[in-house]
Amino acid sequence: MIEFSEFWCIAMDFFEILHDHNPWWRDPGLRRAGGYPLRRDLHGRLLSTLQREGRRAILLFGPRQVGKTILLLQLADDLLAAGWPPHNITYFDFSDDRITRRLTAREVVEARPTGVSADFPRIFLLDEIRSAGAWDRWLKQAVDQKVGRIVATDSAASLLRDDLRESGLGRWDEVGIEGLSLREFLSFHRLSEETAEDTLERQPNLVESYLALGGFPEHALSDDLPETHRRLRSDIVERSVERDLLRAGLDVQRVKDLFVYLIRDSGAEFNAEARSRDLEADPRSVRDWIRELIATRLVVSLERWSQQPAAKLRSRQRIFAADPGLIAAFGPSHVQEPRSRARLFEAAVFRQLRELISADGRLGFFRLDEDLEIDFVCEEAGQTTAIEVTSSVRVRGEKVERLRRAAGRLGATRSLLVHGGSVEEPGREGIEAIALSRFLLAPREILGDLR
Amino acid sequence: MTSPLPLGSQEGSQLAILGRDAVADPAAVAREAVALLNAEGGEIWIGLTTERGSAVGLEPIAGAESERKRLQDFLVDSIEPFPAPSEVEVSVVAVPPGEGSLLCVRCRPAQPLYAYLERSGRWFLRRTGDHARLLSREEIERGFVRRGLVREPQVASAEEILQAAAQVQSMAEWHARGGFWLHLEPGGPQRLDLEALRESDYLFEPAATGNRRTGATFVPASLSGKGPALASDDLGSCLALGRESFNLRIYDNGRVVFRAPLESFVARPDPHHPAPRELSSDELLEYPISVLRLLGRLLGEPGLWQSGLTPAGLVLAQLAFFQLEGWGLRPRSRRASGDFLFWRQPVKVFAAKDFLLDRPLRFPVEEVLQRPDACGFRLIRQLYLAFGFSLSELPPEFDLKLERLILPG
Repeated sequence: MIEFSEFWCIAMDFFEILHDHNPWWRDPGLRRAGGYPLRRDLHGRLLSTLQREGRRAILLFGPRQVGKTILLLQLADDLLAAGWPPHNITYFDFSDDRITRRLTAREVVEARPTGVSADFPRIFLLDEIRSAGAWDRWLKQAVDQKVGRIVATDSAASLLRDDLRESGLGRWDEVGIEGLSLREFLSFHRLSEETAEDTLERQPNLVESYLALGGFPEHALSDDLPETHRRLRSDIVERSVERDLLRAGLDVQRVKDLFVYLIRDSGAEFNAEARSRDLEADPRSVRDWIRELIATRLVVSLERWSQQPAAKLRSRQRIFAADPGLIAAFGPSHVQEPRSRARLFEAAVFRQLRELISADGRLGFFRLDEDLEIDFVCEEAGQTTAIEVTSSVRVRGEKVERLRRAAGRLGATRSLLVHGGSVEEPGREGIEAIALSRFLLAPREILGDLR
Repeated sequence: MTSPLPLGSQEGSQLAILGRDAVADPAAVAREAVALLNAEGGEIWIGLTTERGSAVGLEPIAGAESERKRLQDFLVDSIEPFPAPSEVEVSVVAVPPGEGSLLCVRCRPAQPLYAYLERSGRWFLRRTGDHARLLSREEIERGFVRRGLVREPQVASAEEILQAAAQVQSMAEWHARGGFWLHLEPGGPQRLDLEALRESDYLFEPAATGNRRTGATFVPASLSGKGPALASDDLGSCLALGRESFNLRIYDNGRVVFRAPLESFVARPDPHHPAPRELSSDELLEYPISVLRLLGRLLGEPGLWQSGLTPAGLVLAQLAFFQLEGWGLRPRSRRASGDFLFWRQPVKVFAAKDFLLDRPLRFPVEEVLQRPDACGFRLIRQLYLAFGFSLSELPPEFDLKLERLILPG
């Protein structure tokens, strides 16, 4: 039984933390994201959703370090700036180290500050929701009972379990967030009134910086690559892999080894039997670990493109680093070797394609026999685009010819060769040659023609 | 050949003695050298202690060979007219075994009047007895008169005059726009095979010229929509890359002209006092050095030159920052000082409209081939001096011993 005084102390802790998280309750002029003026592309969409009528919650999921917390705090700041009553906005981070017991989301919602306006709905910005007890049941009820508008985040895709997805149908929208796109990365380096194109024109090396640093906002302005990579390794391995997967009860050391292997061999087809031999583990365990690692969204899978579902099921999937910065951080120093650079390029292109592909579209890789391959096949609205990625700085004839042959066998309606040259070159034989930097800067414009 | 070690000798009209610390203050050595050149010549010994004007002890210099090169470069860049090696020669003098080395600067005048250049001004000095004094106006006038009568071999070649004229022409085009402008002009009749160059990776791939991919280099952004195109302008046939504001042109005589907007050099703003706009030390060093590395590669590849003949002789180098007025610069670098200290150092603001070298620097082709970074550093050093910084306040990312620009990544 909890003594009254003990209970009171705990309760005080919670309220103190809650008030600390919401300084605008005591002073409407206070802001928490003032030091982060840049907004992710996703920000505008979430803000307008919150300001519109509607009861659906938003589940924002993505890997660690991509700016979810900052995004929530920026939403709070912008709602306040738009005139939303301060007491109607509640932010809470369930992973706050000062929390000494397992809190529920219900407690946060029920802790109603004095001054809530009845003319506006309450908005709940709930960070690291997975740390809250029984959060899924609560969220379902909270949406049904219209307690307010809710945006909840977590770093793991356990939010996307099948049973959760069923509960969430009609109740919440799942919104993924990844590392910065090149365009967002450039905005960190933008001078006033400058477009992303102007920024890149002025500082062409920023494409390489993006590949090397990745899309982690905290490091976007770093000018010390080795130190940034060291910190990325430490943050990603210690926090994401070790801490999150330890919670899942996995053999953390071997999962960590597997993670490093996957990142260093990003884009390779995954062979569970071979990896299980390397790791001296059961192949079934290795498959489980892969699923958990994919759930962290630090690695992503790509299936073989095929018109026949059975063939697709038989095929091995390719596993990519979700962000090129991970390859640079975990790979050999400088990433000068062509194969390593190709992995960087592919990860960067894949990151853009994931964002672009619609729910009805299909994305995969194509392979016929052993020598005809296409890195990415994108099918949208009946059009099939073959996208081959090469780190070569020149458009080589043999590469063009192989892509032409593979695209012919695939029946592609359009073929792109994304290359590593930093200056434009004309395409050949019906193949469009596009420099990586141009593709990353304007993928929607380049692929949009298909739709 | 230098004289014997002057231990016990008294400083005089032909002998100046400086302590080991003088290697950190090459401006002081340059003033002494000019003073000797405007008198009867003589020697400056560096690394000796004195008592009442007499050399009494040794103060050996660590890394004497690299200090020698550094000092020789500085003297060549800061004395006018350009002193030939026969006029100003720095040598390393080994002292008794185990005791290290000293430096000796031998000055032999071949012109009637020399000046030490500092911050766009000129110091005319003359050694009198055991000290240097400023020349009087009459002495300077007399020197100029004599200089007008004397043929000046350093700038007399018709080829060099043409090279200088080409620089002025390409500079004039850029002047009105503002921005950074670097012009490298190798001499000689050799012709670069522009088609062969276009097929190489040098213009596409920073790493092919020893540059960082993530670095500030001459390689333009792809969205310029232009590959290297054969073109022709008032200066001749060339390969042109990039757009109007950021572009590189390589001419068939090996001339390289690189231009970039000043905004390409902008530093991350001071979070506490975000004005004025500041130059970044990394970009200041890396852009020009990347171009020197490119030229070094071109000069070292006979296959890129018609008949396999590469230029010999000198490369004239001129650089300018147009419309630099109001831009700021801080000493050293943010990386070396750390954010906390860096932002607390006062920013120096450029007061003149433009920065332009008083005269092009001259690099022997061999030097561009073997020490491109040192050549680029010598160019940018002039900008730091013009801002009013001392040599010890230059960014340490240029390693003086290795003579290489070393940046992470």
